[in-house]
Amino acid sequence: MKTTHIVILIVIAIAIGLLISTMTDLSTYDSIQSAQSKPGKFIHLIARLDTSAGKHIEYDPIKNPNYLSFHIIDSLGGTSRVIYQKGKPPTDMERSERMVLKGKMTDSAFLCEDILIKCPSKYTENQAKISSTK
Amino acid sequence: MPYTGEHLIPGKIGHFLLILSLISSLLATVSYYKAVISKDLNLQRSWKRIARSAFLVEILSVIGIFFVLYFIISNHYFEYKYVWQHSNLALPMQYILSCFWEGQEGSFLLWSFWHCVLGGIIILREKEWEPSVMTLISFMQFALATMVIGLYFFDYKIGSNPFVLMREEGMLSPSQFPIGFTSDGELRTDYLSFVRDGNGLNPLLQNYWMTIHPPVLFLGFASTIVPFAFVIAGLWKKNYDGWIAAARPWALFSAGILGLGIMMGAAWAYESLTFGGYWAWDPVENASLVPWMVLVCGIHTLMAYKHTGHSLRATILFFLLQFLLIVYSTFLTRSGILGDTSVHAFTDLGMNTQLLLFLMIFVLPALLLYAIRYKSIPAPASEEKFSSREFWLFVGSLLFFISAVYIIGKTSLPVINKLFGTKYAPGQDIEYSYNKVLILFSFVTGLLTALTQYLRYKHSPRSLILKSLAVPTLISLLVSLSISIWGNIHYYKYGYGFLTAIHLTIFSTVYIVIANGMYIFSALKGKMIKAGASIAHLGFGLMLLGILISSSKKEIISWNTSGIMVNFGEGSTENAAENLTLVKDIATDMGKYMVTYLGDSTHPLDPKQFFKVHFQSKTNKETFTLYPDAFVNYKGNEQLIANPDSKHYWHKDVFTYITSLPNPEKNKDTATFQQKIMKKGDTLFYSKGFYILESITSQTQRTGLPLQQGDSVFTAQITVHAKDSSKYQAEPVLLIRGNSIFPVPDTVLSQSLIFAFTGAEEKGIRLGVKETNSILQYITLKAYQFPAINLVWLGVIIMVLGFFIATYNKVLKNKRNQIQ
Repeated sequence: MKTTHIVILIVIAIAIGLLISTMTDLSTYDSIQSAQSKPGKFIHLIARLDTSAGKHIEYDPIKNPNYLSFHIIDSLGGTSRVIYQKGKPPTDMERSERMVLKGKMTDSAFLCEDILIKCPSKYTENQAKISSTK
Repeated sequence: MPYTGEHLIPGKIGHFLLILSLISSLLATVSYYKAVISKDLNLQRSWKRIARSAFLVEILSVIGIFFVLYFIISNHYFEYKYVWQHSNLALPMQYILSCFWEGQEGSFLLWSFWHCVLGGIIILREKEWEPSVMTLISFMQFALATMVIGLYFFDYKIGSNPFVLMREEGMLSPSQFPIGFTSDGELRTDYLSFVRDGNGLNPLLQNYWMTIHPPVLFLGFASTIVPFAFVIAGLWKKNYDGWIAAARPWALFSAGILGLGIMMGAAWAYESLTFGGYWAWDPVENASLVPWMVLVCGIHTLMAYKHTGHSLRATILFFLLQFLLIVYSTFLTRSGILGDTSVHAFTDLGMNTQLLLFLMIFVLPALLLYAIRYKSIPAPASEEKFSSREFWLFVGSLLFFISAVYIIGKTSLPVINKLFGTKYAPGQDIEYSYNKVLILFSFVTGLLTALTQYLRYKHSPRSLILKSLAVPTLISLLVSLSISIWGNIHYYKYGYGFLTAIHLTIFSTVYIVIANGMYIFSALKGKMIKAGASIAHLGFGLMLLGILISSSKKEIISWNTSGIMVNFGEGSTENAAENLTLVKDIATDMGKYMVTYLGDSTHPLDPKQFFKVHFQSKTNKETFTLYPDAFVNYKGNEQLIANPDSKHYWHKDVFTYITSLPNPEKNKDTATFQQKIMKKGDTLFYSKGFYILESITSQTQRTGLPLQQGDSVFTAQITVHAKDSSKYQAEPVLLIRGNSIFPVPDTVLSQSLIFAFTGAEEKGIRLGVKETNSILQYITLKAYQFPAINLVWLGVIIMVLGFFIATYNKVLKNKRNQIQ
């Protein structure tokens, strides 16, 4: 067998190995409802902040700087409470139009490990809010 | 209808220059193309003359656009959309350039500008290859010019013009900007006098790195087209290796500058953003890393080809791919497709079709040409020997290439979802999913980087290998073993397998450094001009070693151990309590330090607020003060946007940033002192427990009291028992100076209690007690310790230096050959 063939075989073997390892790492995007049907599984939720009916962001750094709780609602109308144990609310959370939340669903709340905020973009915004005061 | 106060002339000039640039780059493309395909020498010459003039016009118009855009930003002409969106009056002068390339349009212009510079150098220097290489560069300029042209082609908008006015874009509306409109909904002719300030630069980008990182990175991006263009020219003219000598310094320069640009981004992330590190495998980072890796593969296989005739097909493919990946990464980061996976991708400008076209117009023809020519690219029938340098150069490059493919494959997940309608998301631990694979690649490529230089081309005798490698191998073993044994690298988070991989890779990176370092002196006799490769390898090894040590020994030192935080709340299992709250003037235990928040300060010209945090080592006398800063209430935005500060040591950094501040609105002090009369031994209740007056003495343990000679003090010793069964001591003091008395209150911060000893009477002492929240001036912060971080930066600098030395050496070599 030629050396090139050996090299190619090894490369193929590595590639297959990597593919398998990647596949086992993957997670999925879910709706809140489908997440509730698989509690404990690591998933991604796409939702927005739910501030209806007096729901609000709970964060008191004096009591505990590592505890944040808020409510979300997704496009299918599913709602859930979210608990995040890594610190303060991300910048612009109130203004966000969409959030990607990574974590696990439990009976009482979604235990979130990472929050990615998507803000209304100033580039696609059609109308400028201009305040005439400096 | 004329509007007062508008400055329309610069915009008109800008528009004109944009169109001029589009036309001249198209003309340059066509005439260079004609110059390549013409058989007649005279015709060739005249086409080339036209092409050169056209490219000169292109250079001038791009520079002109640059100046006009700079002019309108620095003069704050807010009638222009780009100026309003990206700048404001308060912005310090040094960030004007940052505004320039904050938006997509400006960064396309920056890219285009570097092509002009590089194109100019090619016209001046690369006589033989000028027409074919410049055909591609001119075409690229044309493609970039369409990105900023902002014309409508039927109903489809092409590009986004940086010189449009806000009112033209329909950005002004009676609902959002009522004062600028008349009662019948017409825009007032003096509307501009109400647009007093712009939207401003994203505060996260108000940083000196934003001024220097994009130009360097875009020079890196721009330079990758040169090796690509040479390869295409070679394939096109079936001159499969004539381009090599000319393209080599360009490829080396490109690898150096692109590497520098990428790592400047990492330094920025580390120094000024609160990612808590320098690399996060974010898609945007990956998208520029991968082309660099493929370019480095190409440079290595080119070496093999140069000396033995092997690996030409691979080299050509690598040089094609590195540029195509740059174009692909442009598509990824600018189309908004990464929206859900990246923190810092550009936002969607609505040009996705155009970006896709931009991608395809380079990818498809280039790969098609490669496929057509593949068979005719020379490849020797003989096999490389196992003991030859070229064989291992090829294997190493291949492994490096596979790891690049792995990274870009994972990064492309959103694209795969889009293509196949799937809904896959990155896994739970993204960083580890990259790290666990790449550490193995680093181990093997590390070994090869150390060994391969000691091999000879064609065949290396066994005795020679053993003789020359014995010493470096032995030294590396000793050094890496001592790091492993005494370095305290115990990264158990992912088990023993990963820890073993870390230690193995420490060996291989130390091996790179030592083997390459010794090679400079043993084989190259210390001739630095020839040692570019070894220096670059040495730097690469140092960088990898720094990455390994700093990542595996990165330590969060702000573990919350203060009494202030009570419970973790529901769902708390393994989650780290990484944020520590520091109450003003109270020294808090944090790792090896006692840390005190001393106060904050602002500067009238700086919208940032600086926080003074004092560190006192527990083990020695060392003290230092850090000033992390933050934008507080930036434009009515409730959140704070923080920048870290670090204490740099030669062997580690202590790194801290603010994560939370009290909200002054919420904590107004409305409580008042309540007077109590207490005798020794009395117990009283408060909302969270009770307190006992233990004794009254005429001494005090408290320090920092404003005592003078002749003062007398009385101290009430109070023990506070909180509900959660924690105990605190308080010592309010009554200070008597002459005929006056001064109560010096004492606070129990975690219980929000203030005691004031205000006097004494028959029934007992008078004690004022207040329960409040507003006494707490505090900050919440995170602090890390990064050991060996400087190795990373040192490694990068050495590596880039190595690339530049190699570039210079090849330029000299080409010059010598020309003279001969």
